[in-house]
Amino acid sequence: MKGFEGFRDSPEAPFYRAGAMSAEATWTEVARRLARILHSAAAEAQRRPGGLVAERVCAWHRAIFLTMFERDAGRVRADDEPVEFGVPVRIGEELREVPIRGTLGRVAIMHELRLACEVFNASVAALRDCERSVETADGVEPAAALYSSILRTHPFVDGNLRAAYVALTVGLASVGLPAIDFRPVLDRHDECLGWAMRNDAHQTIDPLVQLIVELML
Amino acid sequence: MNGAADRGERYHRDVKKIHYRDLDLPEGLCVADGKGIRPWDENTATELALSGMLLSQGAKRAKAMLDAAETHEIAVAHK
Repeated sequence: MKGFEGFRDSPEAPFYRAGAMSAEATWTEVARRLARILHSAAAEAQRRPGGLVAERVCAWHRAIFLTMFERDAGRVRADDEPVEFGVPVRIGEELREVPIRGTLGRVAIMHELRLACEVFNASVAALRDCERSVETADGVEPAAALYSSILRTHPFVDGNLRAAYVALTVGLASVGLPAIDFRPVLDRHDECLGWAMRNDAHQTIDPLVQLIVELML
Repeated sequence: MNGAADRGERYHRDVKKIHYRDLDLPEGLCVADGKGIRPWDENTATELALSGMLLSQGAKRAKAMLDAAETHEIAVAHK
């Protein structure tokens, strides 16, 4: 697959390479499967919107990584598998990489995933019941919140962003909105996630919603 | 029309379309990248997969960005 020659996963990442395959061949296969799942999941969401469940998120992860990392594909982290990741957080004029801990414990992870799905389903149902036309930002917000919640929970040992990106695409398709190609704004995307995931009074989903809306208008 | 296709067609008709007052959407699946909204074609899924792969480098990208900012700060401090 051409177009992501600049992609370099961390060699310490669990999904860096599969077995005897080279890292590049592994990423190509993962990208090929991700493409198939994005298409099928978005088409399905447009045909049958709503009714998202946590197990579906796990199923997307499994489908993306099954051929490469069978053991961990779709498997929620165990109680003794903590995870920490960094997001850029703006503090005044300064941008700092702040560590965020994913939810610990399989029961807690599944609880948070289910909660995120319930909030998403309720928001989409409310949009569908709305008799008047709505702003694009109103349609984007449930999918952006779902995306951010999955990333904050970080259910899997690796590949969380790829699974969450499927959820975002499905979330947008569920309310008739387009999928988003973030390639022109990767750094801004990261900063928006920082706003969505920071653990202080400034935490807000609004910059991420605004970025997605800007890419649509 | 066979049963499954009929049920699918009926379901599709029952799905209430949400109207956006500030957005003119084409029919069916589509994609946005800041240069407008276009219908989904055979390349779209591949482009989106590349976007998803590159997004997944976020932590590494953040570190590179912060390293660059630090280098700039050091360079400024030494001037």
